[in-house]
Amino acid sequence: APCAVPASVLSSAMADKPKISKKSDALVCVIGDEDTVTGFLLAGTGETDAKKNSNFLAVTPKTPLSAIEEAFKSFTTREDVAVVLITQTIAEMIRYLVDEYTGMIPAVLEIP
Amino acid sequence: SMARDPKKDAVDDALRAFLRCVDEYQTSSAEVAACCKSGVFDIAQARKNMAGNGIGVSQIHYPARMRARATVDVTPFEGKGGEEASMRLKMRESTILVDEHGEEDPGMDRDPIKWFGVLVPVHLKNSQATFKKGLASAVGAARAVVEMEAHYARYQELLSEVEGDT
Repeated sequence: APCAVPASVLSSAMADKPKISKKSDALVCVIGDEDTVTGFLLAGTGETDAKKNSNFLAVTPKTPLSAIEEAFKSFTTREDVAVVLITQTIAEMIRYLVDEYTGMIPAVLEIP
Repeated sequence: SMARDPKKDAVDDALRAFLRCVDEYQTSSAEVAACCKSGVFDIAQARKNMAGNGIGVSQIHYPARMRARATVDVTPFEGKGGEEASMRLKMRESTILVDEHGEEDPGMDRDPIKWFGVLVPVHLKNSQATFKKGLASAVGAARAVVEMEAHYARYQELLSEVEGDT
């Protein structure tokens, strides 16, 4: 089945969206199950700095909801991020946050 | 023959542009879905093959520090739909990086597949190749979403103008 058009496209006016700024070497963040995150890290997306700030969150059954919420909020507000990939199962857990997000960059993409 | 209304033509053009972006988004998203499915299957196969050696494929093998090799350049521009952005995925080759003490830290910039050992099963290499393709499609889908938003907003604006005139 074709993937649905993201709700953010149809829901808010362009006037409400912040202007897009130029970014170089911006990151791709990933929130998902361990295997999906491992896969995208193998593809080279992973970054963890000296302060242990990472651009990914591998969600396990022990991961608290608050950690997922914090990761989504952090990734979608970082200046150095272009794309946030989030698996659909995890997106459903924080649907209220995902639907509330209307920014253009970082672009949020739900993946299976 | 009836004279063409340029405003109505503009509405049709904006709608066509929006639908083209929807098509691109759906194609790219389907590619991402296929890559994720195949890539995760290969990771499961690799895990099974490596279990006999007591080595797993999990986040406990992620290094404490890592540097992204795949990054994106975002360039905004004024397109037909209004503000749009091009997004280009770049893959960086390994470089020697220095840590905060000024010492070389090649570990920080290793090929991620080496986190799981020197000799890894072919399934893990396949998974890496598949997820690289999936990543390129994901960036394509993200770019299509940004363009979609611009064209949809333009379509609504033009439609309001036409409806206001009638």
